Amino acid sequence: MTSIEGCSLVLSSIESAGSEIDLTSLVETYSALLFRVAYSVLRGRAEAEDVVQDVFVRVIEHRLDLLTVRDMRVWLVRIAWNLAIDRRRRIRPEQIDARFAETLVARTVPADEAVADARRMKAVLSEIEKLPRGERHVLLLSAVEELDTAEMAKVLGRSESAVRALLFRARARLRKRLERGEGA
Amino acid sequence: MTKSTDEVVEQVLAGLRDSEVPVGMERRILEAVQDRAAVKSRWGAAQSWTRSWTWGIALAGTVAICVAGFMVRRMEPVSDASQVHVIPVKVLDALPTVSSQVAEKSPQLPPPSIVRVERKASTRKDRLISVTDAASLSAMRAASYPAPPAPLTQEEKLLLRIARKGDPQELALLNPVMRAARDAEEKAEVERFFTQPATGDHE
Repeated sequence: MTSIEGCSLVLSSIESAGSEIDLTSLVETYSALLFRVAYSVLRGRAEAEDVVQDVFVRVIEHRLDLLTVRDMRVWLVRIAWNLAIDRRRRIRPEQIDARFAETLVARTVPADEAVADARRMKAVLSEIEKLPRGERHVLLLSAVEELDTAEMAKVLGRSESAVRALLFRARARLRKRLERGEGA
Repeated sequence: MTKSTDEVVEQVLAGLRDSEVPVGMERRILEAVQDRAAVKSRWGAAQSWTRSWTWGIALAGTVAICVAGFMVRRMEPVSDASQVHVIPVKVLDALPTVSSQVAEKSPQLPPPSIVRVERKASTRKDRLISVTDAASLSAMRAASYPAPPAPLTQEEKLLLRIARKGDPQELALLNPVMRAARDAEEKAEVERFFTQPATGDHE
């Protein structure tokens, strides 16, 4: 919520300064959110940081159009989301998901349990990737938990009811597939 | 089993959500963006400078091509067709009359046919003739230039036909003294014809 207040401050500073951009304030306000949005798709810190950097490069490139942007927060998240989706197509997700699953396993558990947990988490990530595109995007964006349904709908270009339905179906489908995989 | 599955899913989503931002990311992003913006501005300035130079060179080239085309058109020789049509008319106008006798005999001569078929020459070619070929034009207007034959009048044509025919009677009629004598003789015959029967009837 603090980021939303910062958003209004940054917007007022932009309007008062005309076409000048308070880039430092933008980076301080939105970089963490944009990093998490990109990380939910890429699951790599370096890749996510590159995406955040690209987002602010786009801001510099479109600095003359910033005054026409109604919701700076949604606009930046949408840019980060699209850049992350585009970058995701060029990397090998299997290796990244394996490393990410290993980082999620608690270090205090025994080694055999850690291997089993890592395998189950990797299966979850694999099933998430196998979900239909709309359901997968809604599920990953909801994982950030900093965006409400209306903002997710704006980022994804869908209605709020569609976002809610896709999220429900994504969870149900994921649960069903995981249970079927564990049963087999 | 279901609960454990939900727990695993929530653990994965929490792992995505709770990812920590790398230390110093904001500073790195600011430096990188400012560097890229500076490079882009320098590149944009260089591009604008190059673009302005390109436009300048293109403009200079266009001007050079226009000047060269104008000079080539100015230096090109005037075609013979224009000389043929323009120069004789001017010569006819400028030259003195062919002969005083012909001129006296036919004072209301229609303009020569060659003048009627005069093509409307372009002003540019007229200007070229008057400017560049002034010397040759004055040479052609000199008195030593052989004058073209003027067309004959009807009287001259009749004289030529009589001379070629060689009929002595017609030739004799050309002599005004003999023609006057013949006219007087004919007149006397007419008078004699009308006066003799009248006297004969009264007798």
